[in-house]
Amino acid sequence: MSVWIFSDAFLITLFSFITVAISLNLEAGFTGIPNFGKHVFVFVGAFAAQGIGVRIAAWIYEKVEPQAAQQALEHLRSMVPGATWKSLVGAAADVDANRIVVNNYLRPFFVSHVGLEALLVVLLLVVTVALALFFGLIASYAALRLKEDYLAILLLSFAELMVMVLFYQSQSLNGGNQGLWAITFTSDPVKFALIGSGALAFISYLYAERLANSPMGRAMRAVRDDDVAASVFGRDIAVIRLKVILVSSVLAGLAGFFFIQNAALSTSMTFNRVIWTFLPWAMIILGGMANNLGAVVGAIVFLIGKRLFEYYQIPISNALHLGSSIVSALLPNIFIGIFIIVILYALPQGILPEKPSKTVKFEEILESEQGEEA
Amino acid sequence: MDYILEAHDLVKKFGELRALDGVTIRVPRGMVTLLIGPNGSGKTTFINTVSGVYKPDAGRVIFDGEDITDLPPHERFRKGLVRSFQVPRLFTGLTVLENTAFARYGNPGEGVISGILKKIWLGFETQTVRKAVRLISFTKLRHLWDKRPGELSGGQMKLLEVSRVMMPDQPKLVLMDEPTSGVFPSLAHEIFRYIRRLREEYGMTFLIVEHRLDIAVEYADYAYAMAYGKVVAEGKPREVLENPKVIESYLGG
Repeated sequence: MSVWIFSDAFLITLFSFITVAISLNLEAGFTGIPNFGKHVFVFVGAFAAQGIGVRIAAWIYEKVEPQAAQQALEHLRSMVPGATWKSLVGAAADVDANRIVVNNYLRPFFVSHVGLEALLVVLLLVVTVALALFFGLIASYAALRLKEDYLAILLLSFAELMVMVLFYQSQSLNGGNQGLWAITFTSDPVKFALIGSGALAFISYLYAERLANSPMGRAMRAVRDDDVAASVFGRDIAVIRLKVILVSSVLAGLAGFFFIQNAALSTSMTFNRVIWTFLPWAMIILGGMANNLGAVVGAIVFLIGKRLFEYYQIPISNALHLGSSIVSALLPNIFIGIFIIVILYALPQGILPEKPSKTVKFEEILESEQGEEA
Repeated sequence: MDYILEAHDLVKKFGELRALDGVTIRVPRGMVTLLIGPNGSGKTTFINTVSGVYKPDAGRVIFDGEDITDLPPHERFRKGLVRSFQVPRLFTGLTVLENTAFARYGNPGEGVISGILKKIWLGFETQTVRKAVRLISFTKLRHLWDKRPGELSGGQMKLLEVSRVMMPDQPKLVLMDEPTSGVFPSLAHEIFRYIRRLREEYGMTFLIVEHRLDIAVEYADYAYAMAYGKVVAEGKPREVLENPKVIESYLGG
């Protein structure tokens, strides 16, 4: 049982959660933006590799190999009677043909065309960033106008509307309730996901740490503590919130993009509120709000704990005589809920408390500035 | 006379209560002006309305010749209008030094990209921290520089509020809402001497809401007295203090 902790799948999940926790911490911990719709911002990265990614990939394939694409289309038509798509682009995002298009045509094609594959990766990363910025703008439109509690509810509703209704019910966007195979990269997509998500987590941490120890980190914490006082001292709080939401959305979107490289086939419900919003919240509460290392520690502790719990779920369920009831199935969620309450009660500051923004060496300046009254 | 701030017929209602009932106050440039009056006379409401925290129901606010009635607080600050709060609104997660340093506006490092490029902001930030250290030395908070406001006494919080309001670069007008309440008298005198010095050396203008008239009166050039949301007297500070209407408002209040 010690093996799964270091399995690729677990590490990819861990790295993705570290990035999302850091990103949420920038918003919630540092700036006081209660983003309860985090899951949709992670989902946009998956959408970039699924609904959008397969279409772009198929389009490139059609342009480069028109004859092969035509043959593929005819082959697909013979396999899916009554199909209405007129091109491979349509077929790529259709739930009936998506798996064959992606696995039999697109992946082999891109694996053998390294240059085009690199181009596609860059293109889809750009798409991820653009989508994240777009969704971030929508969220900040509300964030600039609402008080905290209302904002939390609004962001949650917005994310649910996207993930559960729009993208889950409409098959044309992202395969709806059947989901789509994402376009994955290299002959070893798991390794690609591992390296990508690991590098992203590392860069996110470095970025967040530098930001936290800059004048911006101080300004974010000031806006969180008292937005009226911050604006009386000349800060446009709307602009500060907007910047933080945008940059956090981009980080979350990129995390989703690399995560889906491993998950491959999934629906928008993979990015549900419990896993990609409440869990990151629990992580930053446990690790320490407004502490980047805390977010990382929180993610590690929480995911290992959750895995252990899931591993022993059946024995625990049996010991509690739950049988196969719904309570038994929901045990992990119940565990998350109880855990959050316990941390808030026992460790309100989290494992690692907030630190001042170390912009310059304060001690040296204190040493050299004696001040007129000292 | 040359006025930095002109508030014309300001009205601010809270339900049935007219907290400001047609207040006209002009603050002469380069002077220290006092705003006095008993509790509930509308002094803090006036400061809040002038600084943009409240929107007036009627009346105009002219600052340095420009109508700022509809501007949000941060734009008023950028035009040179700085204020402090009667009940200190400190940033609870920030240290004493950070609270003070934040009050200087214009740091080029306050962006999600420029923030990580230390070269861009290091010079400005070093200057800022130096100035903040000098100010908290002056307000006797230097030894508490890394403490958070929650660890300070009430008087120390007031002093931190004073340090913050002294931090911005060359403000045109500083509104101070009871800067010395809860501060021991010798330090209160020192704060007023400092205000006086800023006025004399840099030509800074102050409008100060004050309860401790015994201390404040000797440092001020001009005074307004308010009662029940109206201005009841104005003039030289001592004359205003001796004005029967003002005495009556304090006693009758």
